[in-house]
Amino acid sequence: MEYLKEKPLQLAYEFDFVHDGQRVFRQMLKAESNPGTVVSIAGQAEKFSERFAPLSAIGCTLLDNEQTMYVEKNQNLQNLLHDLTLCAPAALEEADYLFLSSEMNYGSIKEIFRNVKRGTYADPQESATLLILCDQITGEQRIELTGPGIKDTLEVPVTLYIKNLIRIRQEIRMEYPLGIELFLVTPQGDLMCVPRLCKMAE
Amino acid sequence: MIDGKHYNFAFLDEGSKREIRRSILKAVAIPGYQVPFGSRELPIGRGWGTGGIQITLSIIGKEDVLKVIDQGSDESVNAVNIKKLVRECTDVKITTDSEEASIIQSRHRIPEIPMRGDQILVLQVPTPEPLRIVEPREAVTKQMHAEAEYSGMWLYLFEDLIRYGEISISSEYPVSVEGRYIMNPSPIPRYDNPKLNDSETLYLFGAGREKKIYAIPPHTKVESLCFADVPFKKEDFEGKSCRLCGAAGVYLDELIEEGTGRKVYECSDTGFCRKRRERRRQDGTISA
Repeated sequence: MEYLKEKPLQLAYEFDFVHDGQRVFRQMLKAESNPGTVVSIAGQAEKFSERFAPLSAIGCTLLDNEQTMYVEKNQNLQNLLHDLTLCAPAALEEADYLFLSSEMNYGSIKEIFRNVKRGTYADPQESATLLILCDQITGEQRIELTGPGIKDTLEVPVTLYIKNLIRIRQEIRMEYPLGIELFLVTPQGDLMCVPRLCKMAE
Repeated sequence: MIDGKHYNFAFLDEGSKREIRRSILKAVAIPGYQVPFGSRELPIGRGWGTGGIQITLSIIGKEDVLKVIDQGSDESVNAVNIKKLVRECTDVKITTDSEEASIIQSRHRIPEIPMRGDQILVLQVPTPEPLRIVEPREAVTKQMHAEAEYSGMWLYLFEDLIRYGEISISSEYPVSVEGRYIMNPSPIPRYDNPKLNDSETLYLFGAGREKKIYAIPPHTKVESLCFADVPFKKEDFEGKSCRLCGAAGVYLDELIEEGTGRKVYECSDTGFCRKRRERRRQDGTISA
């Protein structure tokens, strides 16, 4: 074991699955309980190096071999998540967690939202959670959100991309309790959640 | 020996925590809906708060401050043992002060002091299914929730009203969450039901034996079931006050005084009562 002293092991990542995972989860819980509020997972995301580091941190918090994932056009992220969590890739229609690691055109977003699992009336929890990497969350568009977690209404300044994501999900008109959760995250580690009951005023 | 040296942080293995965390996130997204989860074995028997404990152990971090109460009391056997278990395997700070705590685990009460948005209340639930009183089969109640078929529950309340002249349910009084799911708020007294509506805080409910987790996020519409001409009534403590701290307008426990045999009242929330007495002692308005 002498050689270890001369050449210390280089860690592939420093994410602590116990404590960093707990912190990421609590921030996700806070974001979901308070839709439209931006929280930060920067401290945990920085333990991965790539641009999609916040998605890696969220994946390592939630995934394991009991879940399935769909990673849109990012083999590196899929490999990383599989290697670290043993989560198996699945088709878009079957995946529990979907990772969209870059901003996409609205046509593709619409197709994804239409085809992901929405749950059933008896088991609405068997629905997909979407983790979407956006360039930024805060922007010029002021939207008004309502729903559980929000006292009366909340005005949030977001980018046009995020406004359109919420609008597209709303246009699909999934009847509650069916629905999908959107977790929007930036490369800097900002995180906002728009759960299924959160609506944007038209 | 259960401690941080022999067990993972917060006792549960990470796979268990992950599953419970995923269930919590779904529960928050679908307020009032009972999310099934794989309830784990714990060094406390099922029915002694294992649902609440599993939630607490899954959400707690090193920086948290924990308070555990049982029927409002910080010192009951159940509360003391839960605190001991969590402290031994997390080393988090334990408190009896509701305002200092970031997580409060409770059995059968919501603290008197209104909770804040940065706090989480975890409630232990023995029977999560509100429809169990009208339908014994789990598969059927699940379908009833799926179809929002709650006529059996309304009929039960109506029959209760006809029989007793008022709805006689004293605790576990059913509520409607966001106008969709009927939910059992755990055996809290009716007095606490209004605290669930449009609250600042997040409520998480855990039923370990029944393997269900459900939630009420902040600012969620929670209505106690009642009829248009028979409004919901909570316990009335008009003209009564705590014999220790003098508090009125709080939930009181009724006791029979030894010797005289007369009825006396004390705050059910012992942490609230103790703090009030300490303040009054400092102000000089109460003697030690």
